Order: sequence, then C-alpha cells, then structure tokens
Amino acid sequence: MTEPAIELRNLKKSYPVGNDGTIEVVRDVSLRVGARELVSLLGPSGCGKSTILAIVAGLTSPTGGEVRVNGDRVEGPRPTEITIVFQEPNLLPWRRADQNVRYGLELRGADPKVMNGLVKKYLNLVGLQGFEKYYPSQLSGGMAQRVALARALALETSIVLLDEPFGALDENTRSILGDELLRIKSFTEKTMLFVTHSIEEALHLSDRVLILSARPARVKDDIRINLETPRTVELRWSPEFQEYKVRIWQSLKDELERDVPEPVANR
Amino acid sequence: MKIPIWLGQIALLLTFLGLWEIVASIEIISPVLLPRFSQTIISISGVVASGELNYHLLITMEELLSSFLIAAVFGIGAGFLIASTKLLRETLEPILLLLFAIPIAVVYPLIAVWFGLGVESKILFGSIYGFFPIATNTIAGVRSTNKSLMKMSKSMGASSTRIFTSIIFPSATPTLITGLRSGLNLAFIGIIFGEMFASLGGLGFLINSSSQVLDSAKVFGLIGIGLLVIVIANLAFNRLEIRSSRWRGEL
Repeated sequence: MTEPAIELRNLKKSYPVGNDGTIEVVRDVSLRVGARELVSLLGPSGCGKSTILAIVAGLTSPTGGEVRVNGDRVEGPRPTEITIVFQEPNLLPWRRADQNVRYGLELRGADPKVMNGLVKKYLNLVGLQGFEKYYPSQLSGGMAQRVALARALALETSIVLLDEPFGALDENTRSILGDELLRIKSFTEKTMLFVTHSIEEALHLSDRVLILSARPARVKDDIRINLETPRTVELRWSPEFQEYKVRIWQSLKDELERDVPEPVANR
Repeated sequence: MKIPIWLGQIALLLTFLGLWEIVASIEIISPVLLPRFSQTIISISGVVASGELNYHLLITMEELLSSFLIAAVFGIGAGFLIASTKLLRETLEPILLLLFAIPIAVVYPLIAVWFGLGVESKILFGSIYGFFPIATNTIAGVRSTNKSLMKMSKSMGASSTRIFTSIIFPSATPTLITGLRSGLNLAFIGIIFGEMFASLGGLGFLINSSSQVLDSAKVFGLIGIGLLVIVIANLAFNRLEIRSSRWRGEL
C-alpha cells in the first residue's frame, strides 16, 4: 500500500485551564488520508476539528501522538507541502486582490516573473479575472474567500487543509464555492482535509466522511461516500444522497445531544 | 450644488476675524488688551520685515523638528519593543500611560537648570512631550493587529521578522500616524512653554517678551504665526493619514 499523504497517530491535545486544570480537546485520534483524497472531518461545533487541522498545519503542537505528512513527522509549518484556508479569508486589507494572492509566494521568495504567472493563473481559476486591483474591503464575502483560495492554491502544495472555508458564507454562495472546489480538485490532483459541521457540504464534497465525537474528539465513524462524480449541487436531491444523509445524521445525532449541557438539577 | 466644506470653514474664519475687528474697534475692551485684527497684521508685518520673526521662528522650528525626530525614533522604537512581548507590555504600558497623564511641565525647571537656556533644553523637553503619545499609539497599533492574519502568515512559512514587516507594521501604521500627529502637537506645546519659561530665543520667548511690554498686537500676531505652524503640520498629517488608509476606502 502506498504511503498516506496525511497520517495522524494517537493524536492528543489538551490545554491548560486556570492554575492546575486542563481541558482535553482531542483524545486519541488516528486517521489516514490517501493521496488525492478529499476527506471531511464532521462533528459538533467546538469538538476539536479545527484544533486537529491546526496541528496538521504545524501551527500548534500536539500533547501526544504525532502527525506525518508524506511520511515525515510534522514539527512546524511546511509551506511547500501544506497550505491552510481558514473560515475567515484573512486577506491583508492594505493589499489588492492580486497582491494578496502573491503574498505566500513572496514569503517563499519566488522569482517575480513566476509569481506574476501564478497569481494570474490562480485568480483566473477561482473566477476573479477583472477583480485583480480590488481591495478586500471592496469584495463580497464570497469573492474574498475566492482570493484566499487562490492564495493557497498559488503555492501549489500537494495538500490543502480547509477549516470551514465556506462557513461564514450564505447557503447559495457556499454551494457554488463547493462546486468550484471540486472542479479545481479534479485537475489539480490535491489531497484535501476539510473541516465542516454541515452534513450536506461534507457529502457533496468528500470521498470519505469522518464523524468526530463531541469534545474530546475521537473518530467515531468512517464513511466512504460512493456517489457519482462529477458531483453537482443537484445531486443533493437524489435518493442515494438522502440515504447517506440519514446515516450520517444518526451517527452525529448522539454527539450533538452530548454537546448540550446537562440540566443543573440532574447533577 | 453642494458647497465644499473648506469654503464653509474659510467663511467661518473670516466671520471670526471680522467680528474681532468690529468688537475691537468699538473699544468695549481696552485696545491694550484687545488690539484690532488689522493692527495685529500691521504689527506682525513689521516683525517679519525686521527679520526678528525669521530669527526666532527658525530657532523654534529647529527645536520642533529635532524634538519630533527624537520623539518619533524613541517612541516608535520603544512602542514596538514594549508591544513585542506580553510581559513587557503588561509591565510597562500602565507606567507609560501614567507618566503620560502627569503634567510634564513640572520637570521643566530642572531640565532648564541641567541643560541651560539654549535650544538643548527645549529639544529635550519637546522630545519628552512627544514621546508618550507616539509610544502609546504604537503599542495600541500593534495590539490592533488581527491575530488571524499572523496565523495565516505563519502557516505560509513567515519568519517572525517577516510577520513583523508584512503584518504587524502595516496594521499599526494608521494608529502610529495618529500618534505622530499628537506627538508633534505636544512637542510644539512643550517647546513654546519652555521658551516662554526660560530661554534666549524662539517664538515663545518673543511672545513672552512682547507681552511683558504690553505689546498686545504683536502677541496676537505671534500667536497667529504659532497657529499657522501647527495648522500646516496637521494638514500634512491629514494627507498622510488619507494616503496610508486608502485601502479602507468604500466601493
């Protein structure tokens, strides 16, 4: 078997709280993401999904276990192999759209000619030709997130992590950007790890959906999604899609209920 | 048609000067205390023609420019240094704000004794005045930096130096410019005060010596010159502020 692109082995993460307490966010998560696979992490909000992604991105270190990317242990950011797209576009407000896409390439110290070519290529890819000179304050939420996507893609890493990238957008824009992501993935051959709390979004996009438990996060279920490709928004009304949805919902439901605080009287 | 704002402002100024002229010419208030606007102009023209103003204004400008540069270098430097770590910020920022609140004028007699009546004491005093707003605004500017941008930058492999130059510094710039503006204004106040209190030359010295011989027209004229200096400096800062935050512009 080929080496997985991303592998998590017994990953643990807890944060200190107060003077001597700790809060356990991730408990013993192990998972593998194969090359060119799109895997979603689905779980109740606040369950530690984003923490897992931040650890894979090398932004935080785990308290136990390890992350391996293409066989190497992750100790810090690996900008030549991994990029991460966040829920907020995190654009530099004083830079125009094209300069924002350029940002990661500048950090890498790329040749200006190469940079210009990549900036143009990826701005076109996300459908933003004509908006190169706009400041982020002049862009809609969806367009700003497209710029953020182009900035990440321009680094041409084999792995892209997506932390609820469309979570702050309205339902329709969200579906359209999901379609775009699949289209881009179909010819860029990237491995993607996608965090979401939307069942539909996970189903629409993923090859596999991993259900996480309420905090502390564990992998509760690993569901392979055998839906036809290319997947379109319309697929959402098909009976197969509904079957998957019911199955995921049943698995997720217990965790959502566990997330609700117990009434004080029962304690 | 919409009347431009600056036209209204000029009209307001002219009305004020007109009223001044009228009130002073009916002499409800003694002309020794309130000279007419026209007398003030005549008096200041004489001061300009004799070269007296030129001499004193140059001293004040030299002091102002030197103080501003010193305050800017130390204020920005200290601001970024203090803001760089949580420990330094939590220890020093309250002290800085407290010192800022003290009327710094109380230390001027000491400074005059240590550094004499020349420009040095004024430059030092002006620098101290200018330092605090520049330092505190730099700290506030750094604090206003969006942490998520730093996280994004780090994920793309930025070193702490690059995070500083590409994220923190540009984020802090608008607030920093506001600090520089207050710094310059306060340094000017400090310098004029210093010159009036104990010195051998400068605009403040000239105002003080004119007022001691009850030459009110000259005093008013000199105050006008002082206002002009600070208005021009602030207009320059307005342009700088607009330029530095063009990206905040609307659609």
